Amino acid sequence: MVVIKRNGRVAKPSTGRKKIEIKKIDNKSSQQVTFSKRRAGLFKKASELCILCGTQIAIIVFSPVHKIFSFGHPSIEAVINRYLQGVNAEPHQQNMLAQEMESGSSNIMDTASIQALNQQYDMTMKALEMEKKRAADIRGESGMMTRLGFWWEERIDEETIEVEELEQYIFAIEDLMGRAAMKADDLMMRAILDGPFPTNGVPQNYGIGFGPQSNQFL
Amino acid sequence: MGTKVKRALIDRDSSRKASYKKRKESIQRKVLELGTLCDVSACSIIYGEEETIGPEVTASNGDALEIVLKFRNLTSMRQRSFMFDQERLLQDWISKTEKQVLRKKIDIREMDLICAMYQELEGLKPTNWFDGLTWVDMADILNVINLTRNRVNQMQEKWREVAGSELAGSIVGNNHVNCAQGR
Repeated sequence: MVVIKRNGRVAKPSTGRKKIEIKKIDNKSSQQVTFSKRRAGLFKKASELCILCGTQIAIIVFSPVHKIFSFGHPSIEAVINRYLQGVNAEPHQQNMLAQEMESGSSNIMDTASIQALNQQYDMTMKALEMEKKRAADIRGESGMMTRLGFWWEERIDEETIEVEELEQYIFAIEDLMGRAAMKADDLMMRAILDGPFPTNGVPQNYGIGFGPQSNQFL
Repeated sequence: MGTKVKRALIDRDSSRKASYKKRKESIQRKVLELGTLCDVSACSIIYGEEETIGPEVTASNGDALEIVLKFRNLTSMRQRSFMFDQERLLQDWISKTEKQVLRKKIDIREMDLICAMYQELEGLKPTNWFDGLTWVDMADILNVINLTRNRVNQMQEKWREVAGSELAGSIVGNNHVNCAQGR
């Protein structure tokens, strides 16, 4: 069940880039956070290098809690093998090793599964863009959020609000609260009588939001 | 570097080589940074398209060979637990993005609820607008109303300080009459 706990202000995203010194991070949890982010970024860049420039790469990283992360293109084993065999090899031997590797390596990006995953990734990113746009629309559109509820907060700050107005608002909220609570109780009783609430993890049957008819009340 | 690059092999040789140089150096730098910042061992082994050159190897907190052998000596299970290739990377990104989409949807729903609540308060909606909702909706609405009520209380406190004692009022017990009488 999705229960909305926040007070209507959208959680602040991270504060943005800051220039940091390259030396060991003291705080253990900052270190772990940094590690996770940078490790992910590093793998992403490695992935891009391979796709764009047709290179082969192996990256091995030990985490602060001694887990071992690796990325390899076409595969970590293939590249490691090539490296180990080549450690003492002469240039002409390197050549031979390289040619051994060529077979079946550069076509990895053309496999059906990767194509499908790429498409799925693009689609999901588009979906995210769409949701972001919707959120921005709701917030910006006709200043709905600002116009509706917050005007009276400003007026309190400016000391221009009348006693009666504030009273009225409080009264209206109390009234709404009472009616909503009654309705909630009623629905809950029915739900208990009708049997367990059907859910499959992601809530599907909301009256508000989560669907093409979201904002139906606006 | 501002425009998006298509995720495919770069056609022009010169562009590809230039890109390779830049990106390779960037990766090597980042391996060193990661190692220093987080005090961990890390290495990268890069084979360019030039077949006669050996690999470009960079390592932090250890020798690349050392690190590779250490990796080799792990059990297969430990190796695989965080082993990524292009496919697994994509799957990872997809699941992360899907979570973000869900979070955004929740944000939007919250905003819808708040808008709906304020519209009701300003009399822009008929008072039975929540007849068609489910109890999950109602639970969320109650939460939102409650939070608003708390904010109103806070506002009232602040306002009381500003306006002085003769305008003092109390939200507890709906004592609106007391409010007008300046209790």
